Amino acid sequence: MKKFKKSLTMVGILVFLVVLAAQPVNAMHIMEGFLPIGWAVFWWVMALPFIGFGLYQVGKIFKDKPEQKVLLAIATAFTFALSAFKLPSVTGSSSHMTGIGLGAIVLGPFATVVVGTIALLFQALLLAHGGLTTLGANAFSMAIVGSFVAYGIYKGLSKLNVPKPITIFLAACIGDLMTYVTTSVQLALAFPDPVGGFVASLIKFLSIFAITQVPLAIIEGILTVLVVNAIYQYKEKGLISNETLSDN
Amino acid sequence: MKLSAITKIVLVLIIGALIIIPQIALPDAEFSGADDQGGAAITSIDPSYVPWFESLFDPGDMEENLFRFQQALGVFGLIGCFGYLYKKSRKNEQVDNQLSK
Repeated sequence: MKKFKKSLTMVGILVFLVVLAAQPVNAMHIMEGFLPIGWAVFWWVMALPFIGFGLYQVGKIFKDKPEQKVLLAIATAFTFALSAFKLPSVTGSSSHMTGIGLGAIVLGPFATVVVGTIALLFQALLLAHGGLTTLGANAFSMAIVGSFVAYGIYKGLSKLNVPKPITIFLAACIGDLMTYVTTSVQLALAFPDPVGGFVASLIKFLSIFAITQVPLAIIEGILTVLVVNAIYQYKEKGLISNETLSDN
Repeated sequence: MKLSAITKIVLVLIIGALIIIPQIALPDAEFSGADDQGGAAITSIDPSYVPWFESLFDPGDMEENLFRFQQALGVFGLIGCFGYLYKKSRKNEQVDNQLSK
């Protein structure tokens, strides 16, 4: 009966998410062609080693840890769902979440780089959202910075014995936020203000991307806590084994 | 880690509040995408900038439906994964029960 209640809660959360889908998204990610070619190449070069090592890690999961495949599927589905939900924000514009923190917590950062890049590639090819030339930059901000920041916070706070729900919340929330801070830095580097330079541009882009993201990052943090909690109950039953999701 | 039912309900209510509050507080806002505003900001910083690459595939009017498709993929993927785990845990329990009989 307890288990039934648990799955009912999960279904409730998911239905809630579907209801939110009333407005499809058109937000965030650097648009196709909107980075000068030099910067587009630069961010591709920065992102490729992470994607390469991430693919190696994902291959290892399939080969050596098949019981972790379900976590890989959950992380991918979560990122797909969250990065397609457009949510209104306090700035009067809208954006979407990344869902990256979950993967970083349950799979570690490198496999999550692949998860995030697949979602970005899907959106760039099929939805004209983001782009192929800007995929390097967008993968760097979302799949790389997002997952490493979330993983670092998760590991750091776990060592300090901060209660797990708070640790997970902060990891996912700040990871999401840092993605948009990175996007702002990337755009400010490519488009410094003719008068105020990099800093003036950065403030401008931060006010568009990062401030809009604050309430969304909080929502992502809470959703991640709920999903990790559900995963943890199955881990307790021995259905999922993993090292990253440590005890307590 | 185990969240109580009440904690979960409170957390879901907070999410609801975070979504509804901006729409109540800013009834006239259009909530346009932050990336379009980013594009506008680029043009205001460097009016001569022309995007040098176009999307290979322009979904046009299909865009909305394709986003819904992506949402559906994600949501049904999650339902499938947790359904799989739930079934597996039920099966294990039945085996345990039979063994203890």
